[in-house]
Amino acid sequence: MKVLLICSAGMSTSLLVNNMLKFAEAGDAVDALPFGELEAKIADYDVVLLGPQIRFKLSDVEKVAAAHGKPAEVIDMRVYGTMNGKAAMEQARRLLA
Amino acid sequence: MNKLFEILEKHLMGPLSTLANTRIIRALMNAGLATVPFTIVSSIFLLINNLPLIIPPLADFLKATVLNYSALYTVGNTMALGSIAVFYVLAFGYYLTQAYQEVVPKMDRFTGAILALYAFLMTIPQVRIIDGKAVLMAAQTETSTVWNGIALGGWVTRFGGVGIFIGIVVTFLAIRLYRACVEYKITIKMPAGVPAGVERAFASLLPAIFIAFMMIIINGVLAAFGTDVHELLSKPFAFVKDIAGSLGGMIVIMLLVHLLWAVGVHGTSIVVNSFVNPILLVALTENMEGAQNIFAGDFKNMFVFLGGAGSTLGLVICMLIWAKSSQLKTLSRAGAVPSLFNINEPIIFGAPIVYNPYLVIPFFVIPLITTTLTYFAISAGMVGHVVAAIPWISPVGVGAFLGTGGSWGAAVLALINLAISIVLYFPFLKMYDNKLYAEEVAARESETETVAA
Repeated sequence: MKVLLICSAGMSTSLLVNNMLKFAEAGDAVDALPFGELEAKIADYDVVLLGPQIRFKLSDVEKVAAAHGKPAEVIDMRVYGTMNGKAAMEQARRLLA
Repeated sequence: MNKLFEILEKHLMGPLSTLANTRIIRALMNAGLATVPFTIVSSIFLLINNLPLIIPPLADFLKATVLNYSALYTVGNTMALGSIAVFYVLAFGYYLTQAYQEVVPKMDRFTGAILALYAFLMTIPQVRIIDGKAVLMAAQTETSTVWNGIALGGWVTRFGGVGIFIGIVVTFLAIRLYRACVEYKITIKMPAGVPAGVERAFASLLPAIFIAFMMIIINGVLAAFGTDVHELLSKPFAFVKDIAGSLGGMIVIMLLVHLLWAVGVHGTSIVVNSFVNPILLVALTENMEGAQNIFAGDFKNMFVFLGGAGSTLGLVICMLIWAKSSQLKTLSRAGAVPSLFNINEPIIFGAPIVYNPYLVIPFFVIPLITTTLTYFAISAGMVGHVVAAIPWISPVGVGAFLGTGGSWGAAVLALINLAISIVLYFPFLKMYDNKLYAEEVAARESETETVAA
């Protein structure tokens, strides 16, 4: 499963990436990118998670994701704030289930 | 308090994020980000010129060695910041085309970028109509020359920060024209059998011709009135810039940013990165040439957003020292290092500050106080003006020192602002932490009771 995290500069979500990788299985990948790169890179991923601070971009992200047939969702604020890698990883798996 | 959050979500976050999501604003944001590296690169060379000020003991040595080569390396500054409007136009043309591709997928981004550049370049020469004849202006002053209609200072004057606003306007016109051409299929029809590549190569021909005529007509009409696009638009833009650059204007901007963060959306991105940054960038380029704009460049990350929006480094320090609840203790340890580099999403969402009546009050108030203090400290001359762009992750004090070209007063002001943040967060943190701690103790007690039973 390849997870793409989107936030405004790709800085704060990269903190979450490390915590998510602790709960990764073989073949999993997690990357953080700024919103502007979503379109160019989405094809390489299976699922898109959005930082809550740019949840107002959800409709745009959903549009791009839907065009590629990929699910997208906003990460829960609490999960994001506590940088809870386990919960974020579970959210990604649930979206693909 | 909950009522307040409700109102914010409905009446502030909704409209502002819709606005920030319009195609033009999204393209402006992306264009702004694309030009940031060039402002930082050029600042490096500017800081080299300022080294004697930054390290006074070595001043004579530096002047006799490194600074002798100023004319050589300053080119790195002139061509980056001196051409910033050119970079801006290319990036805005590219990203606006990208945004329009959502509705007109046949548009091409590179074509959009060069068409925008062409339109912008056509505003550079100063043409006047004198005695029924169009002439290119020529003039000579002590610091600049107008030669064949082109104003030259250190470099083409209109390529610098002053050109950004005009670049935005003409890029918009050019890309709309290009979009209309593609949308209504106004292109040169090639006979069947012509390779697609050849047809594409000619796709920009008609838009380029239309843009040429559009700009010639605009220039011609204005020339007849003795002016041009740059001169005409500089007045209204100066007005907008003066409002955003005033203390009152900046207070409103800061308030909007933090109100949005209070409901958990990226206020900095919505308000500052889209609307305010182009204005601050122009102010910065003016300051580099000796102007004295108080709010310029990335002043907010140097003096106000210490640890991120809401000056949360002060909160983190309070939590590290005084927090008793394990929730805040854990959070402060995890959030401390990112906070040093002004990344505070973990704190904003983890403490949380979002929707938290205990912490939003200092979160709103501190930036207003530090913005005001910064304004007066700079205007009183105790702190240097912002003359250099610095990466926004520069830690407290470092960014202020380098961004002002080595003003010690600036570093001290950043530390004073940090102290204000610590003092004002303290009582609110204490109240919130006591509540969390009481809850944790109660939870532990009920647990032991169940175990005992």
